[in-house]
Amino acid sequence: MKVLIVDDSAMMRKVVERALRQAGMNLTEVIQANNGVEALAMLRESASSNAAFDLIFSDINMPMMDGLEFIEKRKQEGLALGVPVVMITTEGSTPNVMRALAAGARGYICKPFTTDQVKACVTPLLNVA
Amino acid sequence: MTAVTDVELASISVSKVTDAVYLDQAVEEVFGLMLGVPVELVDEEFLTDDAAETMTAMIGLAGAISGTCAMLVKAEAGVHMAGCMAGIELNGVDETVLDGLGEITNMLAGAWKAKIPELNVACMLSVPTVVTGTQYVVHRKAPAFLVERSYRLGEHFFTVRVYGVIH
Repeated sequence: MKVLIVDDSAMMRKVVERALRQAGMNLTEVIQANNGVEALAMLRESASSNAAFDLIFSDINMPMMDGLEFIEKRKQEGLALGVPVVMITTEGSTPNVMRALAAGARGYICKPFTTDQVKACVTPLLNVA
Repeated sequence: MTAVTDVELASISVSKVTDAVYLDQAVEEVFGLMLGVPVELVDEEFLTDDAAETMTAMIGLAGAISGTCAMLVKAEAGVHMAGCMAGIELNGVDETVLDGLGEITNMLAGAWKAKIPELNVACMLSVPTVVTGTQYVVHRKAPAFLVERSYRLGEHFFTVRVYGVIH
């Protein structure tokens, strides 16, 4: 499984990757981005090289371009529309969740989280993707 | 974005935001779930030795309240925390430690405000700032509210403060 993890914290990218592995996900490739700008560039590159991601995890609160703007622009540009996006953030308020879902996010995990929560969120997305 | 009504804002009281139970629960959740280590509430105030390097990680709070969520640790405690979070042994203060402390504080602020429904919608968090050094003082205006608790993490101690004003 090829995963894109978007977070301005290298520590959190590591924690998310570890949680996915502990949840039993077979990660063959983990690509990391510091913010939405980098993530969009990686999606454009993957589209042109036909090397699609299987799953995208994105934080919300990031400099340069936050996670909500990232998935909104992804939708506008028609990038990786079939790839499930999971937002993983401390900002669990209803408006943020609604905006994320409207922009195409398929899951929403609030930090702090457990491996079981990650597994429960991701498993159904991969089964139907 | 959903508007916060006057009724919701009016219901945010000092007594509610200073109820230490919310902070205790947030600390327990973050350290238990993300670091895999238990913490214990202690009575002693966190004190810095004159020569000890200290780190203060801060998250700004904006919106219905203006303020700060800050975590104060000695450097060795910060290194231990970040190591627990990363799942590796770290040997000194570096970018990984600063990053980890910022994220831990970010989660503390998020978990704390999530326990107060009126704040969860109406309070936003800044990106983290981490100050390091010795013998420094963090100055602040007299806050309208302050909740401060100290905890033990193994042989280490740390303090978490949330303070500010309610609008």
